[in-house]
Amino acid sequence: MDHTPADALPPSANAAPDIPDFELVREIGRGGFGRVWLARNRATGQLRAVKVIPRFRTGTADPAGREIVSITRLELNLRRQHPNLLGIHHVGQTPDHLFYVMDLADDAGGREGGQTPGYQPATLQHRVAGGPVAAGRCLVCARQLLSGLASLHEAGMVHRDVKPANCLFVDGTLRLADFGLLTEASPQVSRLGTEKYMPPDGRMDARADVYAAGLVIYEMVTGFPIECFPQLGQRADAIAADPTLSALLRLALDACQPDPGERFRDAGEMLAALEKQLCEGSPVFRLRRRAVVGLAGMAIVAAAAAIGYWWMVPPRVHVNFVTYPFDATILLDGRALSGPGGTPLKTPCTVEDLPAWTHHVTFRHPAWPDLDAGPVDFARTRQVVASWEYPPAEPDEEQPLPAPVP
Amino acid sequence: MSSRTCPTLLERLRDASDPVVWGDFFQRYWPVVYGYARRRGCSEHTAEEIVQEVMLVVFERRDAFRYDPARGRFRDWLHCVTFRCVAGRRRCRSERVRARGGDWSVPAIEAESDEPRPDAAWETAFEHALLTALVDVVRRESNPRDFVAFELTVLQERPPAEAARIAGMTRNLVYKARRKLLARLRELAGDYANDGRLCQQVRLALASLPEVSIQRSLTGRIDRTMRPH
Repeated sequence: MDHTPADALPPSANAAPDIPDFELVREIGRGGFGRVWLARNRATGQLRAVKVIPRFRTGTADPAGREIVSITRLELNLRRQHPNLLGIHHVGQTPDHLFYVMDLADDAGGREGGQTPGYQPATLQHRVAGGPVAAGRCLVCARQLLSGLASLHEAGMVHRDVKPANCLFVDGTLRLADFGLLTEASPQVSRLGTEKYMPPDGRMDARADVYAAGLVIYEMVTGFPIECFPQLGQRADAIAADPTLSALLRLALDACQPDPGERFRDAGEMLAALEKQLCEGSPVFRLRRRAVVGLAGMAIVAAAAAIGYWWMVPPRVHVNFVTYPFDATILLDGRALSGPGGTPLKTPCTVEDLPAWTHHVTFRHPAWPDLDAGPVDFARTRQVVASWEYPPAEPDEEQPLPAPVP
Repeated sequence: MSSRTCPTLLERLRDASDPVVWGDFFQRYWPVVYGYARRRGCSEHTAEEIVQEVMLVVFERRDAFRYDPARGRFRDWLHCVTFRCVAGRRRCRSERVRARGGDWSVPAIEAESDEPRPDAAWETAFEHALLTALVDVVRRESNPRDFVAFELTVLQERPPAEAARIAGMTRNLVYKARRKLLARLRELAGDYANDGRLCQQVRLALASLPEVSIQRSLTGRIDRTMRPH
């Protein structure tokens, strides 16, 4: 519903038309093709907004015909009323006019809706004209706008006139209004709507609604008119300091890409992107992300340690130790090998579970001097054999000790 | 950087019923008049009134507009009109009486300008308006995300990391956007400020603009003033 005066209507159209069951109190809005009246139900006394469109117009345009087609589409495609779309309660016609009865918006001045003489419908346009919208309110409005628009897109329709003037507040909830240009989504949709909110590529499909919604969000975040888009000016400080405003600005920038292929496919996808951005920016998410990153790091370190251990720690092998004569104790790197009970192992024996490293092997026999077998690589050698001369050589025989056999 | 007034714009201004051309004219010249008034020491409120007054004079004398370089430049004529409006305000300020209960924190007599030469104030205001227009050209031509990165890093001198966070880009893309848009701005500016002071001048020009709320109120007032005609 565009509340800016338009000169499309003839002066004779200023008189209040006669509408069944409703007394038209006064005009509260005017668009290119019709007027919106504050109306009182003659039976119940309830105040409503009634849009009245002349049925016969000069020229080729048939606004009433188009309006009825749009509303019929809306009723056919939307199975139930969405809380973020302006409710249409009744559609009727007189010989001269088409009219439909809608929810009455809150008063822009914050008074009781419709009761006061200075009543003006509360629209998002009024809000943004007063400067930027507070971050929390901005987020609520963006969600409600996208939610209403997503319901239309899901039903295969495009709105084609998303702008702040068409976002009304009813009981504080944003509701998308003015379905006069509503049509089914198809590539051949004609270029209609408000020029300033149309995308540069000119295709008026769901992506065009996404573009317009991006501009509306920009207006809410910055308080600037859309002619300034995407300038941030003095609002940059506030946007930088507030994660919600930053997320909304990024969303608007993504939605207003000149190339339609780079925009969101529809309002549902845009709403999902908003929720994702907010989730990523929230302290809980950051904490959770840090925890996940920390756990992942620990897992990587543990895996690296396991791999290192596997590489560094040799496999365990068994080795046979044999000496002549027997009963020699075995010293590996200077330490005696002992059995399960702590008793030293004596040759001949097979020792299980020895690391496959190079060890210095020495044999000690009570009757003989220590026999040094030297360094032995257990990775390659499974049996160490050494011998002293038996019986011990007499000093006069001067037989050399045999060399240890690896 | 050309500062000539487009002859077709002047001729089209003679058609009072063409809102597009008057809107174009207003958008082009209000920053010059406003900036001049501010540099001459007028308050924001007075500067707004001067803009309105000048636009009204231009509107009333639109029939005399025709492109003839021999008669002098349009901008010089506009300077004379603006100068007279400012001088007129200064003359009658002593006659003003503050209303009872008025805001005493606002001085009754506005401070004199720091600018000794009115011509210099006009030239500076004109230069600032042109630089602002160049930034507008860059803004319209570029991708919105790139412009945000450019604005934050070049026009507001913020760290690229912060710009990347706000605009939802990587730092590398911020650097690329900055380089690309700065090159375009330099190309548009031509020989102007080729000593490396271009960015500084642009920042000064943008800082001289009033807040958006004032721009919005000015646009509304001018719109209302012109509507009866």
